[in-house]
Amino acid sequence: MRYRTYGRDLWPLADIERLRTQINRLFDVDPESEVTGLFDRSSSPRLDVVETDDAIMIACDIPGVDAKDIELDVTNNVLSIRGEKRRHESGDRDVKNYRRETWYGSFQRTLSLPESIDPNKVTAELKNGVLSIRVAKREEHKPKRIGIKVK
Amino acid sequence: MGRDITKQNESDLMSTSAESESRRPRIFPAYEVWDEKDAIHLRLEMPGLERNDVHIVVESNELIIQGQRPDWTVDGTVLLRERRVGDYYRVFTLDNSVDTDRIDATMKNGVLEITLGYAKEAQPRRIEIKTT
Repeated sequence: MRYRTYGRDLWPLADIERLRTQINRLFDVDPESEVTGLFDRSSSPRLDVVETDDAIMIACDIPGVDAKDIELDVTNNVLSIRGEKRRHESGDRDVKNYRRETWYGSFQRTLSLPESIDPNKVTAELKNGVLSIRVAKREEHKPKRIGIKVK
Repeated sequence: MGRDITKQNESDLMSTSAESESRRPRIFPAYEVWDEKDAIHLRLEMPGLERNDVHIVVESNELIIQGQRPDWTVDGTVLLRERRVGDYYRVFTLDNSVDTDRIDATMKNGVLEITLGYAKEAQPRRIEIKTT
């Protein structure tokens, strides 16, 4: 607001912003990439969580991870997703790596779930590198539709 | 013949890319590239995509990889949204050492792996020195 009178192009930080954009373009770095900077490595997979009437639905991006390498559990209403992203096997020692933006190793994510969930009703499916989890709510917490009689 | 097929795919791709560009943000998939067994291997992480959702086009010296990521639509209250929304797009420049007829691709667990075979000429060739 302070710089409003300058207009967009005269905003003092605009040059820095433009420089940042150009550097990112130069290195073809996506400003919101999974790997947030040239040197950063992320090992917390991204989650989407949606609450529906009868369940909590979770989607998690974990490309390149086999289902057998994923551990899922619910303890005291805390869902934890743990796993190992294994490096592709290569018998050849004479491998030259040119560039790597991807990460390998273990990952973990925990999520507190509301009291209303039923820890015994958790289902999970892995498809195309996306883990989808459904945690059902307990019967008494599901909304009841009350019919209104017309007289 | 092979060229015609490429051109066809490209025109399909261009129409979808121009369309998607106006509405959907681009996701630059993270990749790694390495050299093994006389080929360049490229691995891109594109979670959420089926094999058929990925389009790979080679146009002159560019390898264009594009994929429309389906949106995760669940009716309810969004509690957390960290996953990216948009379509995958990444372009690589190829040099003459790649034989564009020897490009293979596989897709598994949301990871696209592309093998680019080296052109015959690019492989080292020993030159005999004649004695006169």
